[in-house]
Amino acid sequence: MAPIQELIRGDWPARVLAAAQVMIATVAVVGIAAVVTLNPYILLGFGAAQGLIVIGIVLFVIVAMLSQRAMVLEEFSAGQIVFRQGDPGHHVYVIRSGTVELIAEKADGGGEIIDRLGPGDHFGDIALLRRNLPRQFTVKAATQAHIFRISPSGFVQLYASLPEFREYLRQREEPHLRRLAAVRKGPTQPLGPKPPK
Amino acid sequence: MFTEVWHQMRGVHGVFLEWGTALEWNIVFTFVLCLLILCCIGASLIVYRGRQTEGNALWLHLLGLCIFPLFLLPFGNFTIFEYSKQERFCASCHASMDPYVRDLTAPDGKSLAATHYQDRFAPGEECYTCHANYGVHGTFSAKLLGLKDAWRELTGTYTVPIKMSLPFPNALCLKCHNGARKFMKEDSHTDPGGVVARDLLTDKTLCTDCHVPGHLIPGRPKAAMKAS
Repeated sequence: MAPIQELIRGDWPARVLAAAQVMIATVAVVGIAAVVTLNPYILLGFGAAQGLIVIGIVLFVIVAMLSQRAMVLEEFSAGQIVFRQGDPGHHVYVIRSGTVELIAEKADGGGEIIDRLGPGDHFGDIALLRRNLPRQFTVKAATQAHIFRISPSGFVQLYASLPEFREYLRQREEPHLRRLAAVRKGPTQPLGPKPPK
Repeated sequence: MFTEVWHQMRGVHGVFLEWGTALEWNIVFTFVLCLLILCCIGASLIVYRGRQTEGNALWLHLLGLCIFPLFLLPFGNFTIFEYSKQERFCASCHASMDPYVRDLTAPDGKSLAATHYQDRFAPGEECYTCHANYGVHGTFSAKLLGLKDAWRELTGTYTVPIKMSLPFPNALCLKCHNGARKFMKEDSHTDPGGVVARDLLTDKTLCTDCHVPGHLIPGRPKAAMKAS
């Protein structure tokens, strides 16, 4: 059940899209092999694989329609990972209920909690606003949590049009990054005061 | 395929032969569409890495995962169905079909198959033309039988020499010969009034009762021509 739950809760549009890409690319590779060699078995395989094209197109249409939604509410149970440090980041999350932990993972395999966030807090903006930067920490649900996942386009639209919002994010981001740098450089330090909301 | 196209392009005495049948164009279109699909998917993986479900990436996916595949469906299927009519497609099952190919191409071939093949009645599609019944139903049945034959060849569950599971129906001959001048001149083919004999139409008398052998395969009893 866990992989299915992960598929449903995680960044499933990207996974569904990847599945569509694999299916259609497979047909294309078989198609090239079939017309270049004109081998009867590869040709018949190409014919049999045509069904994958139909499935791939349907999956793409589903992703294209659903990825237009600006905000999706997701549910996480205690201990489940929202995203991992190093993952590519393109969504921003706002907590509706519950608590999450921001964990800085170290090279030796250990991890340290750098902050705890609750209802009204957000996370995930650092990787989005600094292009090509992967996730800087792992986020894990400490209790059962309901979290809004906001699409990058919706978030960037807000960021570009509201200067106050930009300033607010900058203030929130700095302490996190300072704390993160301290954790990675030196010995464990106590958690600092929570940044202003 | 490319060697074949090259030989075709060189032609005879340096004179270019015609190129551009529906099958040849479809092979080219299928190849190009497959290549375009792979290029789109590759480009999206490189350019939009990690944000493939956002913004402009979706336009690239619309091409690579929707529009080109939608075109590939008809072109690809046409290629498969048309190529499977070709004699070279049937001949590619070497172990079981080689004796038949040798019979077709033997310079002094006396069998019906050799006569039809060497007189170029249906260039390139001789096997299909004689073994597929008339109309859509005939095409469907022939493809289905072809699939079963391919499966037997793949799994090695066939016996040599190959035997026909059913008598060769007259309809397969009559779809071309019915109404032909030479055919209608023969008294045994017609009933009074100059129409095709009822016995032939109802398979009471089979064409292959008189006109044999269909294929001349070494190792099989050589049937003599019966007097009609």
